[in-house]
Amino acid sequence: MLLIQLVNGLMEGMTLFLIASGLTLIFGVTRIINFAHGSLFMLGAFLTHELVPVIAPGSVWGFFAAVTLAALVVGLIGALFEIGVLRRIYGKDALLQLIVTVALVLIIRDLVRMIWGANSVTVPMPDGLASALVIGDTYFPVFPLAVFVASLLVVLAMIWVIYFTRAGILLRAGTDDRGMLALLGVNETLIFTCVFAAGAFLAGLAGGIGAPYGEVHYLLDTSIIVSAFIVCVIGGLGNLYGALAGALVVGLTKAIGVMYFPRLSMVLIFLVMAAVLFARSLGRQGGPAR
Amino acid sequence: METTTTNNDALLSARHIRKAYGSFIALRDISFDLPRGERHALIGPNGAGKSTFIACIAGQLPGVQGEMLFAGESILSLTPAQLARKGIGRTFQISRAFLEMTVLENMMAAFVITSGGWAGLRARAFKQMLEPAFAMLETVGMAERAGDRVADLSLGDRKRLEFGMALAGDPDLLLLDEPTAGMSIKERHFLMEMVAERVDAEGRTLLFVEHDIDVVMKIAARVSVLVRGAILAVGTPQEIKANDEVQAVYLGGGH
Amino acid sequence: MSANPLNKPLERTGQDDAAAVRARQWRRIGGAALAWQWLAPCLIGVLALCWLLPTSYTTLLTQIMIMALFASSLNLLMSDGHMVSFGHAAYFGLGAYGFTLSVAKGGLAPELALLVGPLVAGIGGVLFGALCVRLTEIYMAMLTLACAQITYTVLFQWYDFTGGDTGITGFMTPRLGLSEQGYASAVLIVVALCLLAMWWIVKSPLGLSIRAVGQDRYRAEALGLGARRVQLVAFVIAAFFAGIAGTLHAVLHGSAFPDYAGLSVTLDGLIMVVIGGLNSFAGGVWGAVIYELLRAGVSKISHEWELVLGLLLLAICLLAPRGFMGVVRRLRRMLAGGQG
Repeated sequence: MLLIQLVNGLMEGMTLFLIASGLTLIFGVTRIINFAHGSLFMLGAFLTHELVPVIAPGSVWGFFAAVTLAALVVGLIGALFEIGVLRRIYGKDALLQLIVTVALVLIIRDLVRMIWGANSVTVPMPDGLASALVIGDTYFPVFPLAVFVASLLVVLAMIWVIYFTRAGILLRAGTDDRGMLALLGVNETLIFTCVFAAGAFLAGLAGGIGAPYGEVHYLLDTSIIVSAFIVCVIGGLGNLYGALAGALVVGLTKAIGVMYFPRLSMVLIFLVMAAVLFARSLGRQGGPAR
Repeated sequence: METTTTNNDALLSARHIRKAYGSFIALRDISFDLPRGERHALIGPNGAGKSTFIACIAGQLPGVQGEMLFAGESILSLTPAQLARKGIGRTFQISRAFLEMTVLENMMAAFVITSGGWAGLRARAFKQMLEPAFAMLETVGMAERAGDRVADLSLGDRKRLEFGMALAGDPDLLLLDEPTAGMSIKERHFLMEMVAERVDAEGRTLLFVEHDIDVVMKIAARVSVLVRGAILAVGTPQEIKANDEVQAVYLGGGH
Repeated sequence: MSANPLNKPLERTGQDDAAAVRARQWRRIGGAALAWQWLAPCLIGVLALCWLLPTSYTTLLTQIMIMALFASSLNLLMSDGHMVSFGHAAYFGLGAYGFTLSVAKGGLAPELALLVGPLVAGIGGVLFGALCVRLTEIYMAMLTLACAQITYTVLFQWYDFTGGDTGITGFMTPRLGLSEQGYASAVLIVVALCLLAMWWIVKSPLGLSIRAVGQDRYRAEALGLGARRVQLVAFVIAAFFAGIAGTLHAVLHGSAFPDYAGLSVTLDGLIMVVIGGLNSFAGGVWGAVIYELLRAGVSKISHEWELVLGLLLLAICLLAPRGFMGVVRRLRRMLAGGQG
């Protein structure tokens, strides 16, 4: 039982990391807290629900193709939003930027409800992954393991892009020092758009890949965004490895907390976050030298 | 100069102050005495640690090693606010004022805070601060701009406002970090003469960072030269001017 | 005047004498002079509306007044204290549950319980605020969110005490047995008094200190102000008034639900403040009026209220980032410019 919950926790942690990494990347580069990240996740789940039957119902490759396609569409939506709206409010009041993304939350939620209705929909699990591995006398469901592996591949690909490609170097330069990009003669606007699109893509991917394992409904956005915020805050906003650690902490806390405090697992996670924040605030005083 | 124990006669006495940012050592083993009533200038090339030293005294840096006494009391563990209440007033290198308030509101805030009545709700006590606030604005030459937003002021004007705000708390020790940056030469001399005059008349002690050597020569009674986180020389302006080492490292600009 | 060469006289202040300048400046800072010639007719007008509107609209009016108080308390925190709260609903919810539980479980007389609600919210503000002010900016905002979500989850999950998601209902007659009109008038009086008290606080030395810390905490600390302590005071004040709003809300419906402390109530408040206009005392009030009227109006003709609201928000952020009060100010300046 504990082992199964561990597997579930790892799976949830990895999907959380997919969402949170996008959130943290976007914050690192553009300084915008994207409240709509949960909505993009939800959109990915609904699009997967729509695409799986069209492409190849029941097959494993069809499922992953549907997820990828859905994520690409979500990424495109993210890019359009960045170009159409966010670009006009960089450098303005942080609250204003936040409210713009809240506006996107509201718009997406109502559109989703218009299109797919207020009831939850399901995404069928691909037949090949619906079984369970038997090790000793424990059953391990295959699907969470597959999701974990797939997410891990995405994460490794992402780390490769960020640390070993020119685009990634530019991105890190932009995170550390935004003036740097201009000095390097890079088109800053393009980087911002790409980062936002990539973050949206990751959110969509996370939404699609985990969709068969839970209910997909139009209220998914807020619960996901809150979890993603917690992950980012535990890891430190803008810090990718921190987000990975935070995601695993939250995923495992949730999965194991459910066993012992079934009703209060969320409270447990908030307490972890509050403790991390509190610990970070200790021993800090003063201010700028200048 | 053999200085191992702190000097209780000095208003400010620092021993073996050391501050590192990671592997970069900003201050290495600084020992420093500031007698009561002295006007002391801190000079040195950029990055020498002048602002860091000021920030150490004002309690803004964590992890400072060494010993520091202010009026005979150890202060390294105190917060900026506690130090301010003990009588250390300061201005910042990049001037800090309440940007969205008017000049008068800034000065009123300074008087409200330094009077200890920050939690007050009574309008009458508040209104009584209007007179001293205006008087202080007159002193620093900002009375005419009382109704202007600080965000709309020039850098020099902000510096003067900040100086007035630092004075509002009736501090024993005034720390001014490049108080004349962004001012014309005429304004610099006028401001610093006014500062010196007030410091002397009110029996305050002054420690200031300044790049304009003419101003330093005119205002400071003694000068400390800081180079790469260590004090290179201390003396009267004339002694410093005559010091070959200082000439070589700092004034001459060569190495 | 003085021979001080730093004093560069400005032409436009040439004809004023010093006393007049001082009097004018004082009015801007601390002279809590309210424009009663406008406010009094407004109050009487709203009071008249309380009694003249059809009953179904009276409830909407009451709702608007309650949310105006809630948004204003958030506005005090954000515009003056420069602290963004993602969890202000916690205090709304604590106010509502403090009242409800002390009647339903504590057996207190409802009239007495009216005091308990805001008190519970204030205590919540002390506890959560003491944690939150240890952090700054976005991390503080996140911690307020965590505190609010903890509150929400506890209200949602503690079935035995709070009734969980079914909430607490039917423990008293709604509105303390007053008629819709009577309760609306009572709410008007309470909300008006609360707004007056908040105005008084903003215009006091305390208000100036709160704004000082909000605008530059390092400058404030260098003057000797413990920034965290001031932020905590602002936090508790905001929580207390949000608690009053929550209590009034619980009395209006005679019920309490966990959603009162949910994220959507917080977002409602934030949206109201942005619609009304940040950095303006009246922003919260106008934001609540516009938001609630729009919600009521749009819901009548369409189910897609959130879609409309989202588009409206986008338009406001892009076209009028200072909200309703910003537009009013710009119009006023245009009018004044036209005359002069």
